[in-house]
Amino acid sequence: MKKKLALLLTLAMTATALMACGGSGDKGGSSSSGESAPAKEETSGDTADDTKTEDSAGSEAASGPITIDFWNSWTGPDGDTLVAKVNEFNETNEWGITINMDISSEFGEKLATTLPTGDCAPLILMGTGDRFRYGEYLLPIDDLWDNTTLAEADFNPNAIEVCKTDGVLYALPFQNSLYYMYWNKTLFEQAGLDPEAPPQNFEEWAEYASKITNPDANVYGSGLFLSYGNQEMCVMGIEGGWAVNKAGDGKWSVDIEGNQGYIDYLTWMKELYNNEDNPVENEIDSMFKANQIGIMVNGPWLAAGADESGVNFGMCKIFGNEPQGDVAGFFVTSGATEEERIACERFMQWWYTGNEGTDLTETGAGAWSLSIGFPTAYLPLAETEAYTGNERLSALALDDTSKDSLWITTDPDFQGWGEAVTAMGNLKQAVVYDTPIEDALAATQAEVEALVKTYEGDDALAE
Amino acid sequence: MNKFQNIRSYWNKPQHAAYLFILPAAILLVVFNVIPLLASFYISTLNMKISFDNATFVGLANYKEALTDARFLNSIKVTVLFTLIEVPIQMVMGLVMSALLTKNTFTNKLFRSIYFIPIICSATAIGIMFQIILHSNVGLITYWVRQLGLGKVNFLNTPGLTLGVVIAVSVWRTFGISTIILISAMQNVPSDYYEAAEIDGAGKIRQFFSITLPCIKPSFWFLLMTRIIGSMQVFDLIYTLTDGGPNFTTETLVAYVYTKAFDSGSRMGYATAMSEFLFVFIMIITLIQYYVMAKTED
Repeated sequence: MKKKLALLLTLAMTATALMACGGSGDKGGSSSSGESAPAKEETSGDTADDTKTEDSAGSEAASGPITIDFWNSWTGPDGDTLVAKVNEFNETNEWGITINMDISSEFGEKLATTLPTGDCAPLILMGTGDRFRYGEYLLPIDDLWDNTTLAEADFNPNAIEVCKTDGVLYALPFQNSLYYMYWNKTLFEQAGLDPEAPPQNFEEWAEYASKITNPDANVYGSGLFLSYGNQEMCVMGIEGGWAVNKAGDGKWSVDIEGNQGYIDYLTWMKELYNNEDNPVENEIDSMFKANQIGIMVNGPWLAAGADESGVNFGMCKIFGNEPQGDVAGFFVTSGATEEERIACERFMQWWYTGNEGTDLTETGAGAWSLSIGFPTAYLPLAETEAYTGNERLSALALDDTSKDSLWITTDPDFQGWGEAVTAMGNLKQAVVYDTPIEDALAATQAEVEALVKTYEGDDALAE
Repeated sequence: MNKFQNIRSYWNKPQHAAYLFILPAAILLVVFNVIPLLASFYISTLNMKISFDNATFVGLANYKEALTDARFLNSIKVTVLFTLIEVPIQMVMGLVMSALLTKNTFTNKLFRSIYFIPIICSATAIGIMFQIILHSNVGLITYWVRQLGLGKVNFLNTPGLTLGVVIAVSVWRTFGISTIILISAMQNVPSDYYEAAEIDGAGKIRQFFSITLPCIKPSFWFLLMTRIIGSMQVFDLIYTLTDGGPNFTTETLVAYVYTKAFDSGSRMGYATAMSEFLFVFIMIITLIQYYVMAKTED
């Protein structure tokens, strides 16, 4: 009897173990609650713009309560605003949609492991540079203009263009992650400089930095990051341009080695480190918030934290140049059902227009610009009095709306953009740690040329 | 005797029934160890991203590429250096502390608990904590060092120094577990050995080297083996504390594998090929250790 029981238990244990190995087949990304309506069969159609109403957002898809997951990596102070707006959406939206948001610093790893298995959240926020990397797991959202009250013409064309691949829309712009100059007015005053006059060229930057640096107080005049590709390129690119460019006929040129703009920048940058006017650090943000950095460049995301820390600072375009950066966008992942996709698009509409009667300045996009300081890609918002009257935002506004005016490091269509950004950050770091500039440029040239071959094809490199 | 009885009688024999009892464990071993091992070797021969979609067979190209990849070779150097320094320090510290804390007094128990605390802390929390207290400008330890007149030390961004800092943090984090394991081994040494040694006039140090150390040899070997394997696989602390910087001087093999597998390139095939090298290194070291251990015990 004991043997039989033991055998039975053994078999049961084996069966349980094997069952545990298998997935249930349910998607972890989202769930429709209750008896939700059937999926819409056709979402795009010939709906004319003039027939659009607030209710047009996916009106053909039967509505019903639905919960969708929404993943992103906005872990900083701006994440609080995102949480507040998502909560507001959950409480007030008329479609019965509940957004279950997960903000995670492990967002990248989560995407990499869940997109291929279809377990990713239907709605994600990420840099549009990643649209090449995850292209096969993203849904086209061209029908957004038919399914919602949003119109393509209302968005900055440069921001929209970098959301497209081969003319197909894969994302809706969420924020322009452009880089600006920050300067600490208090430190300027203490150094005898005009607190309202940030440097206008590289020479002035170095001169002001030298005056501000005070080793006894742990204060540095300049705050370039040790290794941060885009932050580097927003300054280095002013004279040197992009590292990877189209060369015609589907070919690409890598313009790093021998680039005089890069050589001049790296020489200037190295001098700042040699003079100890720039800390050998990557944690520059926290130093700026602690009044220990005079001049630095970064995206608008630093502003909220600096405001909270009580830093008296200014923001402006770097040497008066048109800002460079990338664009973050709302994406719908390929694991989303039709219902979920419609729900995602409705949330996007709500983000920009709010509920019926909501003032544009009170929308999610409005809060993102007016409360946090991100310049918007949504033109109706940019035209509001509150926006144009905002001193900081008006100083950061884009003048040029052509596609190529807004991107950084490489041509926006280069598929190896992310790795090229890393390579440029490593280039700077190598020079800081005494690799001769010519050698560092040659090594990076070879590295990025290999990227061109990997991402654009073996014969894509221009001679 | 019918067919069912034949089967029953066959499996009732202990030498046959034993296979049934090891079956669940064997299945789990195959599913979770053998198959992934073979699959990883297969993946290492592919040019693939995170999924098998668009994967292409490239044979041993990934292995060849690794052998000419300067960053991969550097990561091996860093890993070996880390292991060669970290493990001996940790073992010696564990040995000394366990010798001091063997007796079950209240104070010893208190110190054992204190030394064990870092083990139960998350590596991420430890990494971030040390990142803050070792920050070149706002770090507490940096401030103290400066107050001692030793100048401004940039612990986390000075090539040559930063690996030492990472090793120190790693030892601080893990020597508690070595201490606890060695204490339990020392407590199992029969007390009459020591009594006999005392009668023969052996001092405490002589007792430690002639009785304690030989008696705890199995535990010591086990600890050494697991610590070497753990050190060669170090990742979490590096990832959170230095991210492989400055200038890759703390980038270990697993940290580089992770970068290649999950960063913008997502070159899973290449990353897997590199991890196969690590597998071989660890296997060779483990076999050597087994051999030495067996020899010593003989």
